[in-house]
Amino acid sequence: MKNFDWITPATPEAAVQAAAQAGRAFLGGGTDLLPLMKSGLREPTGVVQLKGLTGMERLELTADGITIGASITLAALCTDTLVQRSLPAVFDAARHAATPLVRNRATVGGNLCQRPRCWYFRHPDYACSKKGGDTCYAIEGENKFHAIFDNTTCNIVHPSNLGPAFWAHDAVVVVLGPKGERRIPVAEFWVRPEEDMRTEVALEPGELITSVSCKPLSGRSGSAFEEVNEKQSYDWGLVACAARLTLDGDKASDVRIVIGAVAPVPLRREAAEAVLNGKVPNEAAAWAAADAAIAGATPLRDNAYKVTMLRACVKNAILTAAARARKS
Amino acid sequence: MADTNKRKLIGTSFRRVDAVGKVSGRTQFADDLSFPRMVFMKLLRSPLPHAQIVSIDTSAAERAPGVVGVLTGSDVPVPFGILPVSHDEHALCPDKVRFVGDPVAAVAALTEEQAQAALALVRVEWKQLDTIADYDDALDASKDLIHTYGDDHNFHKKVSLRFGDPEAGFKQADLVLEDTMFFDGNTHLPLEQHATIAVPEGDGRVAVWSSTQTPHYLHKALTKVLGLPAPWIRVIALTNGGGFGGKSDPFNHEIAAAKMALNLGRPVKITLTREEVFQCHRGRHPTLMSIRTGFRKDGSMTAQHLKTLLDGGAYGSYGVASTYYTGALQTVTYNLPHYQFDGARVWTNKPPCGPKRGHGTPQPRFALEVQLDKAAHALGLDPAAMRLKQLQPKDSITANWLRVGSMGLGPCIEAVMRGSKWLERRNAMPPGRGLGIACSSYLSGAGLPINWNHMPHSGVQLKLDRSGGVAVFCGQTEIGQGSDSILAACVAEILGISLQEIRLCVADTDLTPVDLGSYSSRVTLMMGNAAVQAAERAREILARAAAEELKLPGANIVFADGRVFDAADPARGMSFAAAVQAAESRYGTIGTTGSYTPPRAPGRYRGAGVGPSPAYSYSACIVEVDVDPATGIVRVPDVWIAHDVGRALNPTLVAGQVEGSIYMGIGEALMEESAFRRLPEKLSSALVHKFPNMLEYKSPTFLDMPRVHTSIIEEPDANGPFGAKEVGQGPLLPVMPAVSNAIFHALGVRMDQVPIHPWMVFKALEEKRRGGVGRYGPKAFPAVDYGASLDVPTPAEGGDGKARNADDIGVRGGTMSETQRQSQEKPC
Ligand SMILES: Cc1cc2nc3c(=O)[nH]c(=O)nc-3n(C[C@H](O)[C@H](O)[C@H](O)COP(=O)(O)OP(=O)(O)OC[C@H]3O[C@@H](n4cnc5c(N)ncnc54)[C@H](O)[C@@H]3O)c2cc1C
Ligand code: SF4
Repeated sequence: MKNFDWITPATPEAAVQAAAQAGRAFLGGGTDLLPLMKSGLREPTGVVQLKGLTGMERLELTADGITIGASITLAALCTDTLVQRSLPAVFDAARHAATPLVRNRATVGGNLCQRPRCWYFRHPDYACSKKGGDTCYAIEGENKFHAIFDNTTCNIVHPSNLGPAFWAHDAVVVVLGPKGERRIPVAEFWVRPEEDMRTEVALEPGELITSVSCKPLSGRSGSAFEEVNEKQSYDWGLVACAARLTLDGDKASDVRIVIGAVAPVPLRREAAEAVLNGKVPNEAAAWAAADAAIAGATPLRDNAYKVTMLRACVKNAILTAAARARKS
Repeated sequence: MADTNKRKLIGTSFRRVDAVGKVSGRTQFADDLSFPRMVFMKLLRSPLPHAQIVSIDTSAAERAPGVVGVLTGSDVPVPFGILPVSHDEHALCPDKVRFVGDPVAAVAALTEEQAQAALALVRVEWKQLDTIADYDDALDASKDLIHTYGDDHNFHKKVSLRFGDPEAGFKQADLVLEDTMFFDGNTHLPLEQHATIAVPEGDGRVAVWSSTQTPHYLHKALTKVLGLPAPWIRVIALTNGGGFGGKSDPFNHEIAAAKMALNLGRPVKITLTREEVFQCHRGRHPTLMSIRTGFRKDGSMTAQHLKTLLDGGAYGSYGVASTYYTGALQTVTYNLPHYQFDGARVWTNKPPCGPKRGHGTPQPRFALEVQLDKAAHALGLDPAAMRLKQLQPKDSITANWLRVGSMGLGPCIEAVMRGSKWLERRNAMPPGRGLGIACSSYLSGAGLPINWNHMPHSGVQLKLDRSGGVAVFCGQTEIGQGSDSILAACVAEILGISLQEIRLCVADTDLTPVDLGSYSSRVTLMMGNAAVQAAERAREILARAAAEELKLPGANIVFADGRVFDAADPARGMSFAAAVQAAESRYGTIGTTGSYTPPRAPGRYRGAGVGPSPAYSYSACIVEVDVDPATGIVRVPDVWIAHDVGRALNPTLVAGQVEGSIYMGIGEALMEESAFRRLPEKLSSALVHKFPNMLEYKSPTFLDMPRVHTSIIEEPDANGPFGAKEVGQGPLLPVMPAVSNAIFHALGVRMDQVPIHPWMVFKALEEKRRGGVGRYGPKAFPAVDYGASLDVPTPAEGGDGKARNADDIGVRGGTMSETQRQSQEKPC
């Protein structure tokens, strides 16, 4: 690892100013940035620490919904009763992520901006397309854990658990940049490889995520995040799904189904939502929605299993969300 | 020997002697050491799997900032290896590299970063050779050779042994099953990365501090390569932060560091990166197996023909022994009257495989135990009861001439059946739940040393101080298993003193008598016997002196509670220190030695050296699985395991080894694999390790760990100290087949391969849905010419342990020493 400057601003504005200098990076918990630096994939000349910046560690109900400061840790998210009650999918997503040790450091902002786990991407020796080369090695190579949707250019899967969960709660990502504040609906926050190979998120250089606002549950509604893991800790999900629904009588309405770990960015499955809207969210309906959610999958040589797995995962997420809605 | 009832330490869960050091962080591992003027070494490793080194230019690296020394293959031209029959490794490859990671140059610099940066300046010109990636490549006679010795072409070793008359056995069978199975390779994953510090001692001597399980063999390798008199080289093994077999070979980095230190006259340190640990490897051999067994209606076996094909990686390592081990222990659990074993190991351009916990035996054990389950199913028998009915009897000799002493597999099976409520619960499991059983056995130390000789396998020396302290010297190495504690306890027990009075000096080739090393589960039995002998000799001397001092000639002198006293009148006695003083006054300085040599094994055929042991441990294991057919995920909520350890010298340490084995077994059953892949053509097509880091190489965590219900079974063996047998490796073996058998019970699909991933479960389920058998596993076993078999009559046939046809068969291309011997015999 190369030497770098250590910058500790006091406010988000000062942080943005500090980061305006080329070669600097924001540092949340460092759980992704440091490994990237250690393997030589990023060599910032300075890191701007985001700990303790005013307003970035709040977690409260505001007019916008529930505002989660970008420096809130995953550990704080998955022990907070407001989150558990009002954003259960976010609560589950944080709780399933990584390990207790990592969750104690990892922040919300960092989780959304973490880079892909693709083995070729992470290995300093492969200049694949995402790193400016001209080949996606995963197409012919090792693609057991890669995308089963939208996988023609770059086959990464987005690793963030919070991504799909935030989307299920119609989140807005609040960003501060040299040109001021922007509010990005989560649906527009993700960048597909076809749009820009070099990044996964719609941040301009030097832009800082200050908070994320989510729509809390109201009425008879429930949400859930499910993932399937080969290992129960120290591992990213093989497939993931966040679901939210409201009960109108005994029928589901305002359904959100967002899948993760299966495409370069989280995907909202509107066709699956349509299948479930207006139906009693029982096992049969959940399977039907799951079938719609996996429709159009284009698995690679080694990852067809993920399609089968995703189907079960979507069904489970719907049933958990429905059970929670019934209890609310 | 003292009466069991009076034992103070042995048999109790006394606190480990290294517990406080470990828990408080005071234990020094190799990487913790630092010496004045120390420099750091890094190795340049081959980026190619198989290539000739056309030229190598280190001049730019030599001029790089901070660099103090550079070595290449020509500086260390002498080959070495763990087995005398395969000295095929070099500290730095002189002319050819055989896997991605093979070292070609060493750079020492003032800092590790400088050494690393200078590596990039070494220019190597390569000529690529064919990559031998897998069995298919290895069996393809048109491909380049990895080595010029071995049996034929890219076969390192071929073995064919026939005991009795298998064909006659198959004719007696009511059911003959034939299966092809695959056990994938995996690695040890010790938390501590290998580290070595070589310290020149001024007068041409060098001391090498290293994380090694086998300081004695490292000493031998260093002596050979450095060309120094053996007494000039001192090897000190530090407590290993886990070994599991991964630190039992002498390694290139250890030798390169010693050479560099001698050249520079400064201490040289190297700590491997995790990626390099994956490259050192010596892990489980991927093994393809064909197993054909005849069964009678009652489930008893009439004959077995086992064929194995081991993917050995790039070097010999322990491979010849590993090959034999894939056949040797099939006979010690259940009666097997006729047995044919064909084994072969091929070279491939991958990190060398070697001895991982269980060394060569988990693979055929998997095949045997899964096949037994299939037989039980086909014959409508209970798999546990069927095993109980055909146990190899105690104090017997097997078809392949292994002498079984104590044998507690029966009580082990009964214990796990009781614990899991096998009979009540097995037929009433909810969907997706299943119970599977498997058993195993393992050596308590190999009967023969690696370098053939008549000397003891373990020596212990005691120095009794007039203060009452006892210094214990032994070459054994603590790798986490608790051998320091067993050594101290054996001596303390016999001398009736507490562990605090013992000072250990271990694993130092200058100061301690040889113990061959921490491998083959040999330490407790062999070192324990040596320690008991040394302590008993000391006790005899002290007892004589004490009896004289107490004016009680001929009295029964007892050693207990730090005192030495008359059994008839315990008040008449003295402190242990006073007894040492009494002895020292009479006889001068008091010291004793003890040593242990295993008994001679009855087998006399070529290959009979692999498999014999002074005693065999036994284990039975029942695994419960919870499989979700929709996700393919297999969870293991509970494992019941019973292990016959002969005598538990410390039950907590025994349970620790058992639980650690379950942990490792669950990993091998469900996730761990040494996977490789070829890079795309534009990136050299090199064959590289898929996951050389701890994040991607999946091994279980606490959350994946089942509840383990351990029963310790004690069938004391006359050959073990206090009756003890091994526990370090045996309990691992039954876990993988028990998982596979439990999945069959849960879902009705057969997993003939480990590790078992969710997608394999899907495939098998899908096949079953389409009306197939519902199996995941290898399709076919390739045609391998194992050559003519050695024909060995069994004890039941009145054999004498020799082969009938040894002279007719002779030796094929042969291992290294055989090739040399032949060429000496037949000069061309
Ligand atoms: C063993 C392990 C397992 C894991 N498993 C999971 C899992 O299952 N699911 C999952 O979702 N994640 C998982 N993770 C990833 C982990 O959640 C992320 O590493 C973490 O959330 C990143 O947060 P951080 O604060 O440490 O980010 P950092 O490492 O500090 O930053 C990551 C990136 O985000 C940028 N950044 C940070 N904060 C901001 C901000 N406010 N505005 C703009 N840019 C910012 C940084 O500059 C950097 O580029 C795992 C990680 C490990 C090590
Ligand atoms: S999937 Fe993306 S990150 Fe991975 S090799 Fe292909 S282009 Fe690179």
